[in-house]
Amino acid sequence: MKRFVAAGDVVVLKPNIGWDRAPQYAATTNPDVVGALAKLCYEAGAKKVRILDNPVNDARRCYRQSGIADAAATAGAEMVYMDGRKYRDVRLDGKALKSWPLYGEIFEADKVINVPVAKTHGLSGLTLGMKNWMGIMGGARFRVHQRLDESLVDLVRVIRPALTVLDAVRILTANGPTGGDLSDVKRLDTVVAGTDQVAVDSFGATLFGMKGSDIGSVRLAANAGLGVMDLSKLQIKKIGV
Amino acid sequence: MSEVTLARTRRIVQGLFLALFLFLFIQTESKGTDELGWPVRLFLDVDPLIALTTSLASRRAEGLFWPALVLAGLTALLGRIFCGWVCPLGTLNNLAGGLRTTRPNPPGAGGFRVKYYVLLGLIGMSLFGVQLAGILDPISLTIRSLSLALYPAASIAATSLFDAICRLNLPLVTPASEAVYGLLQKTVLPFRQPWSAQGVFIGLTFLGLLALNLVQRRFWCRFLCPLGALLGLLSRRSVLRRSVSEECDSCGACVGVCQADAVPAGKDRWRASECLLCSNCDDACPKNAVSFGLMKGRPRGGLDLGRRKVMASIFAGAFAVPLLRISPLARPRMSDAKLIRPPGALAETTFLQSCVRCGECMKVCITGGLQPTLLEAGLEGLWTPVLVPRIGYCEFGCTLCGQVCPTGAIRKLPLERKQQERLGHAAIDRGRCLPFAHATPCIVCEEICPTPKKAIWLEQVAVKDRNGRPIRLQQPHVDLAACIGCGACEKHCPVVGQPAIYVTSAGESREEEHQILLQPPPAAPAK
Amino acid sequence: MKRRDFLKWTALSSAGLALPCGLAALGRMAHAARGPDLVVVRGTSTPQIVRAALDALGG
Repeated sequence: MKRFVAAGDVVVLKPNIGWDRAPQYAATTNPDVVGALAKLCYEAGAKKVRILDNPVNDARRCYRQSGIADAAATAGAEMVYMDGRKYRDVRLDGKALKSWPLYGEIFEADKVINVPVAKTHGLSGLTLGMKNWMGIMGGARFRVHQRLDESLVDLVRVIRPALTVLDAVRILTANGPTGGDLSDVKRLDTVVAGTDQVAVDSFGATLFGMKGSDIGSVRLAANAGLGVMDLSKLQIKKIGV
Repeated sequence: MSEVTLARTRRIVQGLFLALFLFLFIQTESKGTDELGWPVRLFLDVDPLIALTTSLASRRAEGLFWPALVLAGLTALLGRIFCGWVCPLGTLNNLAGGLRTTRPNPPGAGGFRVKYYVLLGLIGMSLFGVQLAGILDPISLTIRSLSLALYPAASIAATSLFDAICRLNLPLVTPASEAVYGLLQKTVLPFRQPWSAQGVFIGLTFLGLLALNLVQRRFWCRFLCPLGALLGLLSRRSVLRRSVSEECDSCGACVGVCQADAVPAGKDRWRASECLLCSNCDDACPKNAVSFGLMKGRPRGGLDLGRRKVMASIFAGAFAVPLLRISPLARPRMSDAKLIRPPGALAETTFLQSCVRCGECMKVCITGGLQPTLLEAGLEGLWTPVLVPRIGYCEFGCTLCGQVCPTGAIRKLPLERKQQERLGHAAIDRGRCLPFAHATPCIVCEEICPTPKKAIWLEQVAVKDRNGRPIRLQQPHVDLAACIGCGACEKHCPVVGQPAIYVTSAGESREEEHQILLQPPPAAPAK
Repeated sequence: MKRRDFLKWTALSSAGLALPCGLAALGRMAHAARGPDLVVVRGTSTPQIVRAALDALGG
């Protein structure tokens, strides 16, 4: 973690805590992944680790029911409820989004780590790392579904996390992104980590038997030069523990 | 005068009970789990007026109301200590009465009897199946006014103040105010700014009641309070009574300080039913002739309400029932498609007979979607809870409204049962829905749908835009067998204003006649 | 063009052309030191796989 977090850093972890679901439903990032990352950040000398999301369901319930609030407490990290005053209009000048209110802390923090969970999604096919940035959007964010893939690429252009850790300990294979049925959950006991968010998502697609190019946002982001989609061009290290 | 007078002790006790009341009120809020951790409806539970009128109106007892019997018994034994020492509205009236600086008015001729007629009218109504006692019950009234008006207003005031200081960005001041704001948010301020459709009306009514203290101290308690009347009736034979020794020279000092109309001039004419046991008269007596103690026998100052007036009050209440139901403000049963009741609500008739409009469910509602009705459920249903999904949907994992309801008008369902309880069904307005009407992709309703097997499913279709270009997109459909009418889709539908997907009460579990399907899905085989 | 100018021009441009390659090589070296582009870790202990992933990415 020392490569990514320097002593004295304020680190923001952005898991997916969008839904009021218990961890076993794989609708939210695994709390153990979040907790372990927070711990590693502190070991690397981080001053503060802040964990936040703008959930769709009630934030209090999402933070508690996902198990992430407890994991944060154990690791000594702080759960942050979004403060309406801290969104600021960010110029994106993108294909779909010209500007949008995004959560200021993402830009003020010394380091940002994206910690998405891998799930299916009705529109984008899958929700992985790039889709996770919807959780820092304020405003009428459900409008972006009209041009979701382009919108995500527009966000990725300005949000540059130090690291992306994709949680595939459990993946949700149907009825995503909300889930709620254990028979839709598959246990993979896997995490995928890297600095290239496009590459992480591209690999994430393979967990569902898909290719990166099947995911619109991955394709568009790669074309825009925001990362590498072609897995054959990447040095991928697979480890069993 | 002695340092520790009874009246001073009473004030401390009153303060403690008011603090407890407010504490429980603040705790009536989710902390992220499905438990509140405190008996937040305690004051409603011990309220005998609510217990009596609800069981009369709905003809249900269901093991409810034991705490109310305890208070009734205590009152029969000790008199109206609840009014004088415990009742939060009484204490607020005391505080408001402090604003009245002029001398107290002499006790009225018999105005105190009015509250008994109010009580009898309410009982008359409830005998014939209309439950409106909660409108006037002091506990219900106070919680409702706080929930829907004063607390939201206080929260807005605090937030605006701290926001303003934050924007000014003053050195030292702003960091300090932000720290205070953070502390308040963790303790007394609501997690989410509450808003209620009728906040102004309900709030002004409450402030008006407090303002009546300027006319006469404890105006409400003396003349209007039906709970006070009920406790008054119960306390006529109480053994804790006032006695006046031979020392009394009828100076009248006690008459002026009496918080009720319990001490008309003349030392033997103390009214047990009116006395709040505030012991002001004990303190004020220059001869120290007044004392309170346990006594046997029948108190002398009886309560004569007049047989005719008693009968008239009961009949007035009873006759109000058909009048309410033929009035233009009445609603035929279940007519209103937007009358979406909270999960676990009883069938409409029993629901109206049981709901005391205390506003607990609206206070605790995690999304703020539960709102007071005005006339959507008829005049009879005034201020009962209705879910307005555009304001807030019913959170799938939450059963709090059923937990805080004091009368079981909203049943406390186990979570698995609640998650299959249909509040109604969603319907799609194809003239507004983006994929249907505008060849524009959107799947928000499907994405948001919380049922494990999504009640909204997507159909892959190829449509054409105005230039004839084919567009592949997905159009949503509602599966009535899975939809529980929670309203999450309506809440988040990006079509602003009139949404493209909306919930109506059609199909709600609680009304047999309200089903759409021939074979509606059975209610919950528990997992 | 004078000979001196020609030499100067050639030297500069060849240095210029060589530079990106040199940088790329430097980059590759640095890259190798930092570890792979992606790490995929599988294992039953979630905290351990997270730690292993971070270790593999270069600590």
